[in-house]
Amino acid sequence: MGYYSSLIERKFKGRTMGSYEAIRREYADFLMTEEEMIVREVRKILLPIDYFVELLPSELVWVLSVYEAEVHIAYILDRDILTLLDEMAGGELRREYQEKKEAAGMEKLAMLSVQLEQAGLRVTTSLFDGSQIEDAVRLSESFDIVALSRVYGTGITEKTPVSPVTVQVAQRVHCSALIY
Amino acid sequence: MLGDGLGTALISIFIFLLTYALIVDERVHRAVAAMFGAAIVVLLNIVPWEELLVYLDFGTIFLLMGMMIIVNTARNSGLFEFIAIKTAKAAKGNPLMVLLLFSAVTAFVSAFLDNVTTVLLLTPMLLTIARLMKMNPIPFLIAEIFASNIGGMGTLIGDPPNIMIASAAGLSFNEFILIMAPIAVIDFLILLGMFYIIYGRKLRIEKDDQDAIIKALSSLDERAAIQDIKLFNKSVIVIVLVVIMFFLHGVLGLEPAEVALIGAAIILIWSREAPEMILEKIEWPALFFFGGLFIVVGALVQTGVIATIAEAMVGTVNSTGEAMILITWFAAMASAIVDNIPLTAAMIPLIQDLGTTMEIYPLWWALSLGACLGGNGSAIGASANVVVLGISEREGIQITFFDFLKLGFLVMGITVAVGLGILWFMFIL
Repeated sequence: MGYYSSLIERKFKGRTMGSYEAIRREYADFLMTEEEMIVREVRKILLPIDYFVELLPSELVWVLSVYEAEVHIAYILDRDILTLLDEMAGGELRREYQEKKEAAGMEKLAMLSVQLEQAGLRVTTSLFDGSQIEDAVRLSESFDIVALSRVYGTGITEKTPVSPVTVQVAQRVHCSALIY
Repeated sequence: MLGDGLGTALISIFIFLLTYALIVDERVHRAVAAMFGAAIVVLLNIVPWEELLVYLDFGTIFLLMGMMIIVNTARNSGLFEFIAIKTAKAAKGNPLMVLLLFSAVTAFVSAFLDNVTTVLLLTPMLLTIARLMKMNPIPFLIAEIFASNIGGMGTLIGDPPNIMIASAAGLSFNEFILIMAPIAVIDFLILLGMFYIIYGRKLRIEKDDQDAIIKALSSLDERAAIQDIKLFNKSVIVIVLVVIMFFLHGVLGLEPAEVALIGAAIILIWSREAPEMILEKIEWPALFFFGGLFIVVGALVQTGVIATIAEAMVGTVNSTGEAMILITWFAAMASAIVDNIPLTAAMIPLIQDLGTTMEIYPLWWALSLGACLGGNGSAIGASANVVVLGISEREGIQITFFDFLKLGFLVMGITVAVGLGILWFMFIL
C-alpha cells in the first residue's frame, strides 16, 4: 500500500470511526446484491404439491402471472408411506390407498390448473410417487423458480409455521425458491 | 513580540507546525495530535489555565455537538437511506440524471447537515447504481465530493469552517444565506456544466439497458429503508424546525449553537430514543480535535505571533480588496494541503487582528469561500473527500492523488475565481 492509500485509509478511519461497516450492514438489509439486481428471465416454474396443499393464494397466482412462464405442477405421493403400508398391511391395501390418493391428486391438479390458467398461465402437470424432498430438488434443476407451499410435506403447527420439508427443499433447490 | 518572549513565540510556532504536520499525516488521530499540541502549550504555560476559556470557542463546539445529536438521531430512522433510494429512482436509470440528482441532493443536504454523514450514507447507493448502469463510478463519486463542499459553503451550518467563522465573527445564518448561498448555487451550476463538458459523452446508455435498470430499481422499496416511521417523521419535523429557527435566530435572540442544542433537546425528548445510544454516537474525537486546535492557535495569539503576521500583512496589502484576494487564494491553496478546519482555526485570529487597521467584514466571506472551496483542491482537502475516497478504495475503485488533483484544482480554481468575483461585486465595487 502506497503512502497515499495508507493516508486516505488513516484519515477515513479517523473520520468515520468504523461507522461505514455498520452502514454497509444496514444497507444490506434492503439493498440488493449485484447478483440479485440482475433481472433473470423466468420461463419455467415448478410447483410441487401433495395432500396438504390446497387452493393457491391469490397473491401467489398474481406473482406467478407476472413472469408469463409455464408452470409445472408436480403432485408427489410420499413413497415412504406407501412402502410402510406395503410392509405392515400388505400389497392390496397399499394399492387401494395409492389409487385413492392418486384420484384425489388428479382432482387437485385439475383444480389448481384451472386456477392458474384463469390467470393466463400455461400449465402442465404430473403425478408420481417418490421422495417429496429428493424429487423436488431433482426436478428443480430444469426450472427457474420453485414455488413451495408452507404446508408441503407435513402440514404446519403453531410452533412450526413452515413445514420442515419445505425448509429442506428451499435450502437445496438449484434455483430461486418462493415460499407461500 | 520578539523581545523577551522570542523563545516562547518560537516554541509556540514549533508546536503549531508539529501539530499541523501530525494532522496532515494523521499517523496519530487528528484529535490526539491537537490535544497533544494543546497539552504542551498548557504544560509550558504558554496559554495559562485561566486563558483557556478565552480561546476555546464554545459557539463552534456546541453547535457541532447539537447538530451531531440531531443527525445521529435522524440517521437511526433511515432518513438518509430513504433519500438515497428516492434519488436513485427519480434518476430513472439515466447516468446524466444520476450525476445531476445525486450531486444536487448531496449539495442540498450538505448545506444543512453534516457533510461526512451525507456522503457516508449516499455513496453506497451511488456505487450500487453505477454498477447497475455498468458505468465507471469515478465521475459520480468526484461530483458528489465537489457538490458536498460547494453545498456546505452555502450556509452557516453547512461546513465546519463556516461554523467557526460565524462563531468568531458573530455572523448570522441569514447573512450566510444572502452572501454565500448565491455563490454556492452559481458554483454548483458551473460544476455541473464542467462535468457535462468533461464526462457528458461517456454518460449515455442504450434504451434497453436503461429499461432494465429502471426495472431493477423499481424493486427497491424506500419504505423498507425506514427503520422507524415515527422517528422518521419526528426527525424530519425537528430538522425543518431547527432550520426555521436558524433563519429566525437573530429575531429570537438566540446564538446558532443555542438553536442546535435546543433542536437536539427536542429530538431527544420527543423521539424517546435511549440517550446513551445517541450521545455515544456524538463524534467526541472531532469535538476534542476542535478544542485542541483552538488552544494550539491560541498559543500563537498569546505569544503575539498572529499579531506580527497581521502587521506584516498590513504592510503588504493596501486595501480590504487586496486582503480579500490574498485571504481567499491563500485559504484555498492552504486548505487543499492541510484540511480546511485547522486552516480556518489559524486564519480566524489573523483576520481579527487585521480588524484594527481595515474593514474586515468582507474578509470573513473571503475566508469562508477559500476554506470551503479549497477543500475541493486535493484528495485530503476536506473530510467529505477522504470519506468518499476511503469508501471507493474499500470497494476496489482507485482514484489516485493526481487524478483527483487534476480535476480538483481545476474545479477549485474556477469556482473560487467566480466566488471571489461575486464577493468583489458585493463588497468592493
